[in-house]
This record gives sequence, C-alpha cells and structure tokens, in this order.
Amino acid sequence: MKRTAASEQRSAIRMPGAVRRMRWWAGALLALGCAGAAHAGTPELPDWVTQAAASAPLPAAWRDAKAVYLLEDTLLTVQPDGKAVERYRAVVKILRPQGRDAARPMVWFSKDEKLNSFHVWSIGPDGHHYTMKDSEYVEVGDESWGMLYVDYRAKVAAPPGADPGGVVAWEYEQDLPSYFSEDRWDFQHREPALHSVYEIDLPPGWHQYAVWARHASVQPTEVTPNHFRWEMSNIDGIDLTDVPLAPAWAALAGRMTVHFAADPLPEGDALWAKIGDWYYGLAAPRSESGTDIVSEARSIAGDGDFMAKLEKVADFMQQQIRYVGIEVGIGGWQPHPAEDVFRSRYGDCKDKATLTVAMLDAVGIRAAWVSLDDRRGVIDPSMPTLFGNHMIAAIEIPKGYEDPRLQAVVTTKSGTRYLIFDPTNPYVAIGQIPEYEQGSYAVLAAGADSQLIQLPILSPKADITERTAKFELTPDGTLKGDVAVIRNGARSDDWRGTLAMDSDKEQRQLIEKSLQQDFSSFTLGTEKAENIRDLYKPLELDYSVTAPVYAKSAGALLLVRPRVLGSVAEALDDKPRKYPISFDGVGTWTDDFDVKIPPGYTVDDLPDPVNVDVGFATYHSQVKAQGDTLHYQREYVLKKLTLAPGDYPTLHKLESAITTDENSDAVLKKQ
Amino acid sequence: MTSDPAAPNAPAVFLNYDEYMDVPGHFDRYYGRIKILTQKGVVEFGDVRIPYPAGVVNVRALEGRTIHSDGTVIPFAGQPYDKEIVKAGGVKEMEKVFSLPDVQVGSIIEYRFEIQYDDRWIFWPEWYLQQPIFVHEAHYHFIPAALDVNSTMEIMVPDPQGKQIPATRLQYDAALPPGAKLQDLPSGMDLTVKDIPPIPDEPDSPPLGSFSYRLFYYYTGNYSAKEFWTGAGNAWSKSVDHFAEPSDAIRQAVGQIVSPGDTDAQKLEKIYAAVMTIENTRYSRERSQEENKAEGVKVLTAADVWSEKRGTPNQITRLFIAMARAAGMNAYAMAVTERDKSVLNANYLNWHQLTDEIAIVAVGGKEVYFDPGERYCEYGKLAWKHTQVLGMRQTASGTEPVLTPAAEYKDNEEDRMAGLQLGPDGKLLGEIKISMTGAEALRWRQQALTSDEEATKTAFDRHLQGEVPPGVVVKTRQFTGLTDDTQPLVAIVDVSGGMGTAAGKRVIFPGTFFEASAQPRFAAQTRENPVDLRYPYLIRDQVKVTLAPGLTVTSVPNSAQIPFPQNAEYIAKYGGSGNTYQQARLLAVGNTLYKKEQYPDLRDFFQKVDGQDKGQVVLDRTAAGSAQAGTAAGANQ
Repeated sequence: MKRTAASEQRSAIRMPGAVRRMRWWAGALLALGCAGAAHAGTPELPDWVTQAAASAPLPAAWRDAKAVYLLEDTLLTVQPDGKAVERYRAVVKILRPQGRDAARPMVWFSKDEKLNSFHVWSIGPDGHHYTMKDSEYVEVGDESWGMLYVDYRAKVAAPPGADPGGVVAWEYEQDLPSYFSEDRWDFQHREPALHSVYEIDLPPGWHQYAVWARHASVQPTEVTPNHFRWEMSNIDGIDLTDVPLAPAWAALAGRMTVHFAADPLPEGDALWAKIGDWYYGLAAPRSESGTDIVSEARSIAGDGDFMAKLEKVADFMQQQIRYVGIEVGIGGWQPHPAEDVFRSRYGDCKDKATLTVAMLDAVGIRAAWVSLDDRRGVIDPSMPTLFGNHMIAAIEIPKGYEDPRLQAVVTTKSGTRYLIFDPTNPYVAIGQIPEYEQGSYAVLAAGADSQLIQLPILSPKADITERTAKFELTPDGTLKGDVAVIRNGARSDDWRGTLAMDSDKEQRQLIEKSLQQDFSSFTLGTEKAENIRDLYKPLELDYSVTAPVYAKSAGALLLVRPRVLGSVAEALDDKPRKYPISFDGVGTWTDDFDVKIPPGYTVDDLPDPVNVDVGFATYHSQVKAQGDTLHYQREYVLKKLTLAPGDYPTLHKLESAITTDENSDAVLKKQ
Repeated sequence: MTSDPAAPNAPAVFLNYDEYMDVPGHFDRYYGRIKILTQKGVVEFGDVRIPYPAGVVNVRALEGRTIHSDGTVIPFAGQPYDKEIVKAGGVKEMEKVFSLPDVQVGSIIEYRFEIQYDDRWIFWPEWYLQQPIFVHEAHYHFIPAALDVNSTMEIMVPDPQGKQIPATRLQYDAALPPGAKLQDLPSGMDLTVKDIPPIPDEPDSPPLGSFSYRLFYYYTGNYSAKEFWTGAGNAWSKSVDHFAEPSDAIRQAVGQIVSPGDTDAQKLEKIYAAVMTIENTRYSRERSQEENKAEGVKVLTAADVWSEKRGTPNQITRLFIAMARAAGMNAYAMAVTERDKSVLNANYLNWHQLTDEIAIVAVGGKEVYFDPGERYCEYGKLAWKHTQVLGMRQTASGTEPVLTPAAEYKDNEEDRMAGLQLGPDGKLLGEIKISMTGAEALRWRQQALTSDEEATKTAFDRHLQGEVPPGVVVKTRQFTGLTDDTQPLVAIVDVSGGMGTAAGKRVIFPGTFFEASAQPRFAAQTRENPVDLRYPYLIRDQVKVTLAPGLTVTSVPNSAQIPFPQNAEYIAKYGGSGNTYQQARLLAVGNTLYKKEQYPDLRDFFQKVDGQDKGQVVLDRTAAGSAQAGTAAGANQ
C-alpha cells in the first residue's frame, strides 16, 4: 500500500563518495554494455500494429488531443489451476510533441507478477518501421514516496520514431499474482481511444462477474465457450490539465473490473464483504501480539476510559512509529507482523494499522482494518475491488459509549459503531480523520462484519480557521499590529505538519511567504507557534507585522483594504465545466480585523456588505466604522466536498463575490 | 539535546563522518554518526541508502545502530535490501537500503560499511566536504594506487594533445575550509575538517555548488595546469575544426543561402537564420543509434548536420561556425559552462566542466558572440545562462580563457500595452499587446518547441493571469514571431472579466494593471548568500482605460521615480481626465549580481516598486452613472 498524500517528505543519507563513484563506474561499464548488447528475438512489426496504424480518420472532436490510442487489447487467460496470464497490446499515435508522453511503453513487474515478454515497435512519421531490441529497454526501480524497498520494477522503452505523426506499439505478457482473482480494464485514458478490447478466457465451469465504474456496463460477447469479449470504440480522453478544483483523475476514468473464480461469485455488497473478509484473513494473523506489545500497550494506555486509552495509544502510533515502507511479493498487501513493527518502530500504512489493532487488542479494544484510496472517488460502490492505496484502522466503540470527540464514526449494517483512525497521519487527532479521506468509500476488513463503508464527512464547524487581528494605521499609510491564527480540526494537519518539520528559521520564512501575498512591503516582528504537536489543542500562530505604505494616498483620501490578510478565494476558469468540482475539505473560516484609523481621518465610504448563500457554501462579510476603528468581519462556510459540473456557474458567483470582497477598499478622508 | 548551537536551525548534524579509501587494499570504509535534532531529521536521516554498481563492488560489513538520549542502544538487526535503481545497457545501478530502528528526535544514529572491489578496478576520490547538514568533524583518508613502474595497473589519461597516455601523477583540486590542511602522510593522504556548514540553499542564488568545499583527486601526466588547459584546449579546438570544416558541401550550402553582393553582416544573418531552422534535438528528441542507422544518418561533420537538418546544440553551433568560415569570416568556437548550474574551476583539470559551445564571429571589424545551439536565440545574443561565464575560446593562434560578455537591459525588453474599456455593467473588455525580445522571448519560443502553440498560449495565459488585477480574465488570441527570432515575439491577448470594487459613491481599481496581482520579489528579511537575478531587463507598460459614462477619475496614484543607483530604475506615471485613465510604467534592472550585503537595498527596491504598483485609482459615480454603476462596481458579484 502506498500513500500518495504526503505530509512528510523523506530522503535519506546518500553517501557522497558513493554517489560520486556511481557515475565513474557507470561510465566504465557502459562501454562493456554496448559491446556485449544481446539481442533476443523480437518479432517484426505484427499485423495488429499495421492494421491499427491504418485506422480511419480520427473523430473531429479529438482535434486537440496530444496522442490517441488507436488500439488497446487485453487478453486474460485463466488456467484450470487458477494461474492467470495477461497479454496486453497497445498502439498509440502521437499527434503533438507533448503526446510523446503517452507513447512511452512501460510495464511494472515483480517476483509475483513475472514478466514473460515485452516487445516494442514503432512507425516513424516517415513510415519507417522499427523493432526494438531487448537490450534497448531500461529497467527502473520503484521510488514511491515513503517506500524504502519495493520489489516492483518497470521495464520502459524510448522508441525510435516517436514524433508527431509516429506510431508506437507494445505488447507484454505477464502472470497475475496467484492471490488475485480480479483484473481491471482501464479503457479510459488521458488521451482518447479509438478502439479498446478486453477478453477473458476461463476454464470450463469457471465464473466471471464484471462490474463497472464511471461508465455504463457493456455486455460481453461469448466468443467461444467461457471466453468473453468486451469491446468499446471512440472513448474520449480525460485531460485535467489546468482544470481548477478537479477531482482525482482516477476518480473520473471509466473502467471495468472482472472477478473470476471456479465457484459462483457473490455480487454487490456480498462481494465487498468477501473482499474485506479475504483481507482480514491476510492481516489478522499479523496482529498477534507478544508479551512486549501487550505490556507496552497496557503501560501506555493506562487505566482511563475508552477515549483516554485511545488517545494514548493513538499518540504512540502517530508519534513513535515512523513511516517506512518495505514490500516484497504479497507484502504489498499483507502487513509485517506487529511484533516486527513494534520492535523496529517503523512501518507503512498497513503495518501501522496492524500494530494499532494489536495494541488496542492488548487493552481490550477491538479494532479492524479499513482499505481505501486516499484519492476521493476512486473506490466506487458499484465496483467491488481489492484495489486501493491506503490502509487505516477502524476501532469498535463500546455500545452506549458517547464522547463528543468521537466524530469520525461509521455505523455498520450490524449496528456496530467504528471510530475511523489513520495512524499514518501524525497531525490529525484521534476522533477525526484527514480531510483527504473524508467521504471516500472503503472496505472494512473485520471478519464477519466486513463490508463496504463510506467514511464520514466531518461537520464544517469541526474544522475552523479563525484569524483575529488588531492594527493601527498611521497617516503615512503604515499598518502595524498583531495577528492570531487559530486552527481547529483535521485540516490543521497541513500547517501542523509543516511547522513540525520546520526549523525556527523556516517557520519564520513560511509566515513571511504568506504575508508576501498581502503586503508589498512588510517586516515580520515576533512570531510564535503553539500546540504544533498537541493535537488535542488548537494550533495557534501569533505574530506581529508592520507594513509600510499599506494604505494608499489618493489626494485627500486614504484607501485601506479592510480584509488585511488571508484569502479563501479559489481561482476558477471561464471554460464550460465538464467535470465535477472537488474541494480539499469542508470547513469554516472566520476573520475579525480591527484597523484603528489615523487621527484626523474619518471614514468616507465603505464597501457594501456581502451575503451569499449558495446552499453548498455561505459567505458573509461586512465592514463597519465604529468610532475610530474600521471593523472587518467575515465568515465563510464550505459545507460540501464535491459539486456537480452544473454547479460551476453558482460557484463562479460565489467566488466573484469573495474576490470582490477581498479586494475592496474603505475610503478615509482627511478632515 | 535537540538543538545544536553550531547549527541552530538544522534538522540533524553529523557528529562524525569518515571516509577511508584504500585502493591497494581494494576497499573503502565509511562511517557516519548523526545527531537527530528535529522531526524533519527523523524523516530525512532515518533511512540509509548506499548506491553501488552491481557486479563491480560488494557492500560488506554493514552495521548500524540507534542510540537514545538515555543511552539505550538499539542495533540494526535486520537485513538490508538490494534495490534496483536502474538497469540499462548492461549497467545495473543498485542501492543497499536499510532503516535504522526506533529513530527519535534526540537520537544518535550510527552506521558503518565497507565497499570492496577486485583489482580490476581503481578509484580516486572526489570528496564534497560540505554535506546537506552541518558537520562537526570529518576525516578523509586516501591510499592511492601506486603509479611506479612496477605497478601492474596502468591508468590512461589524455595528454595535452588529447592522446591517451599512462598517468604519471596524482593531482588534486582542493577548496578547503579555513584552517584545514591536507597532509601527505606515509600512510596516505589525510584530511580532517571541523565545523563545516551545510551546502547553502537559497532561491535566486548563483550556482553555489561550484563554490563549496571540496577535495577532488585525479590522475594526470607530467604537465602543469597551464599546459593542461592549453593542451586540452588545443585538442578540443582541433576537434571543432575537424567537425566545422568548411567542406565543399558546406560551401555549396552557403552559396545557396547568401548572395554574392551581400556584406559579411548580411551573409552572417542569413547563415544564422538558416542554421536556426535546423531541428535542435534538445527540444525534440535524441535519436537512437538504430534510428540513425535506419535512416543512414552518421553525423561526423557539420555537413552531416546540414544534410540531416538536425543536430545537438553543440553540433548546430559548429555548423554555424563552419558556414561562417565558408563565407570567408573568422569564426571561433568557445566552450562554456551554464551559469545556472556551475562555473569553471580552472584549478580542476577536467575539460568536461565545459559542457556547452557558443560561437564568436568577426563581423564588421568586431567580434560578436552567437548562441546558435539555443534554438531561437536572437542573432548576436547569448542565452542568459551563457552570459558572464568563464570559458575557453578558439583564437587565431590556439585557445585562451575568456569571459563571455554580460547582457544589457536593452537585450531583454518587454513592451506591454493594454487598451481597455470599463463598460457600464462593470465588465472589462479590451486587448493586451506584449512585445518581447531576449530572454522572455526565448523562454516562450523554446517552450513552444517542446509542446505546441496552443499549449504555449495556455501557459502564457497562466503566467499573465498572475499579474493582472483580480477578476480580470486574459486569453491569448495569437502569437506572432513564435518561430521567427528575427522579430520580437508578440502576444495579442483578449481581456474580459471585471475590474474594480465599489465603496459607496466611489469605484476603486488598481492603478497598475500589469502588476496588480504580482507579489514583491523577495519575502525573506535576511539573506545568507549572494543574489543572481539571471539577466538584466527592461519592462515598459502603457495602459489606457476608457471609462463608462457616469464614471470619472477623481484620484490617481502619485507619479513616482524609485532609483537604485548603478543597479535599477523605476518610473511610474498616472493620468486621468474625464472618462479616461492612463498609466505608464518603466522598470529597468541593469545589474544582476548582488552581494548579500546589498540584499536589504535590493529587497527594499523591489518592495517599494511593488508598493507603488499597488496604488489605486478612485472614480466617482455621478448620479446618472450610479444606477448603472450599481452593477458596474459589482461587476464581480
């Protein structure tokens, strides 16, 4: 399992001498490599390539495409012993220079996903045919964030003739891991696809069950007995480049998952339950604890009530267990034994979830695993699948137990309440979950209680950013004052994470960078951050700032922007919206600023109040003159995580109001 | 201890670092002892990665442990993993990786390992003494391979003429910290350094890596540094002359490009324009050997580049030189570094520091520098990264080190004009015309080479959107000169959206259209390193806004001149009468390199400029206009 939403970045000690020598050695060996380049037989350009390359003209709607899949063709052959082998073919035509990115053949493989063959061909824009040799391919290792070692490698090729007008084709055959009984047909890409085919050839008596996401289901043809073929044509690409507030690409792309088995397959919820139960069987034995875990867990948890124990174990998991991923074979799915994780004090998400389960078990609290994808929307309830990219924990809440801190709660069909907890995020307090997980579907792996669940979306009132400030303005336009920023809730994790990782100097630079958004010239005075790692207290940031020439002279007038600092505006484009709108998280933002105006000036004009309620969000702002003080107050509440494309004009209206309000000036006049 | 007075903001510090390189013994020994000071230190230093080439060396005797501040020692008891990083052409780069146990803030981590190799290999160290973190003490020891006549090893090095000869000497290039002394002991070369600051990392810096502490060893023959640079320069010059030979094919090509009556300047302009049409593979794609073979392409000379109509940057530069020579002019090559990456270290006898080639041609009695390897670099100009760099040039009698000329602000000009109408409904309509020469023009032209015109328009929109006032929408309609470096690059941009906000009876909008949303260039109050602004430039703006009936200008920002003597100049003028507002702005930056002591003045200049750019225009709404301007001011609502 690989986390993609990084709150920490890692690198490692790179021995300077060794790095230096790597270059030297590589240079020396390169000559040997060239001299001894072997050539394993690759067939000449096959007919399926030339036929696809001779495809009819592309649909006019694709005139902006950078490349196009002329053909994609997958055949999964399942043998009577359950072994499955996949043969994949692709033919891509490059239409623009950037389209070369889509024409880079690549296949990931590992010990359990053996690569049996890999061939690449190309046709240059001038019509010249090329067949690549095995010696021309490059292998690269996995460098995913947080993963120290993964046994996956990729074979990649840089084909000749890969220029606009050229065609690149590749074919590979590889084994599916023996523990997989599902395969996925990703028929939609960033680039459009002219023709896509998926076939599964099953042994007699075997069963298949196809499920679809982001596309209406298509019926297969049974080409020969128990050999099924799905076919699609003219599939539009999904290009999210420069699309503001776009959902994850994978949450939009159409795909089919086919499950296969010798026995009849359950469907719908029953299949989700089966998947969860399968994972439970894989992970649960790894949570068995030795005496050291038990005694440490009891010592940490103490004698408090349920919530008190949870907080202490959670704190240990979040602060003491470092994120380090090591995955070999089925280790991509199965956690390391809790004992190993406990001893070494590191592990990846599934390891941390497993140690959480083990430690809680040691203090009498039952917990289970939750498999999800932290790209909201990627797991679709209509498409039962094992695949996700993250693992967290679900903690069973005792019947009748209530505590206002228990916010991220899911109730299963059996009526059991689970608190969802992510031990990999060290900056979100137990009781809440990170905003990037909220609203996602996930698989609860809890034995008989395994099922599909939807992770909760926390209340906007549980996630509040409050800015308060008191400033004084001098007649020359200088603004001076103190600012306090208080952040509550899961979304404080980004600032907590950054501040926790930063040195004092970097913390100061971070504030300076944010002030740069609002002031042309400024001096940051004192600054202080509190409760960075105390997740049960609000994160507080206090600083003082002086901004010369903040107010602008205009004859006898002085123009002052009452919204002194901070922005909640989102940049939108004016293109027709095709895709849903996705926000990072719900929340509430309030600003409360006082600006004492200079002696001798009076308020002559003020911006009008702004009151917008668009259902999914409200925005209220007003500026008042109270004695010698301008008082600016606003509240922005975002209540929904995602919107339909049709809501884009409404969002535009909201954002225009916010932008206008944020840039409005009050006019002061010299008496 | 979770802080170190010697490194107040460090995530971790090396307490000790040791490299011991025993070439006759066929092994190196490494040792590191790191104090973890912050959570960032835990994340960044908890894992150890040891790169090595498979089949060449073995990593052995690997040990690691974590020592907690209470003295508890937790040894690394697991197995390290061998991770494939890349495998290509028979070469396999691997990493031995492991994670130290229970690393906490305040822990000390310690590791050691050896790299062992057989006698087919010989190594010499290139030690960068500055690490990413502060080093309290480091020790380096090198026992070199013997070079005496009885040695079974023979190290081949190029002689000053470029011929491979057996090495006879071990040399080094040292940039050592103050007080450090390299000792030549009977047991080997020995260096101990203390209190070494980390490699600096600040934005807008010159290539600081070129100035870091280091100790590089290398083998040479019996020649001095002067002899090396002369010899290596001559060998390089010879290869240039061979490649850039004005052969019959080149002469014939030149004959088709120039006219007999052309002056030298005219000939050279035509040749440059012709060379600029050659496909530069830096911006398209390097062809594989098989591809070249299939196409029958073998590039050995400039004539081959011309006939294939494609080449690498240096090949294209040499083609230009060959053609200039064929046209009867004195043309020379110059090898240079890229200023954004490195500067030449003449004490380090390694020609490969000089990665790029430019051309120098005598035209009209004056030597002019050209950069034909940078596609769409304008005639007679250098890409900024090739300005003010030390390199080695050909001369009539050999080679010599010279500094390339600096650019002037007039080499990099931008003229931005906007004609806008603020409508009665508050909406803004109009057109922007931006004309660019020099660095900005080159940047957009080269971007278009790696993508296409549409993608470049989108990128230009994004760039411009970050500068114009909030609410204004820009959309590039067309570029002219995107593939013609003889003309300024001109972008025509459509403007829509809204501008300005209401305050009672007034409407207020930004006085400086093009910089309304820009941020001051430098946020940090303090600076530890020099600043490199890369290239000098001049930006001129002219903006005219025609206001809707009922809106009249009542106040504009005060015109201003902000001098930064010897370095930069800023002038802003504003005018408004009736229903028209006009604004003009000029920013000229002449000096690009600033010492850190000059940083406060530099920051102050840019902050003052930004402050002036944030001035506001005040409009009054007349009674007649108020009804309309109720929406005008609320254009964004």
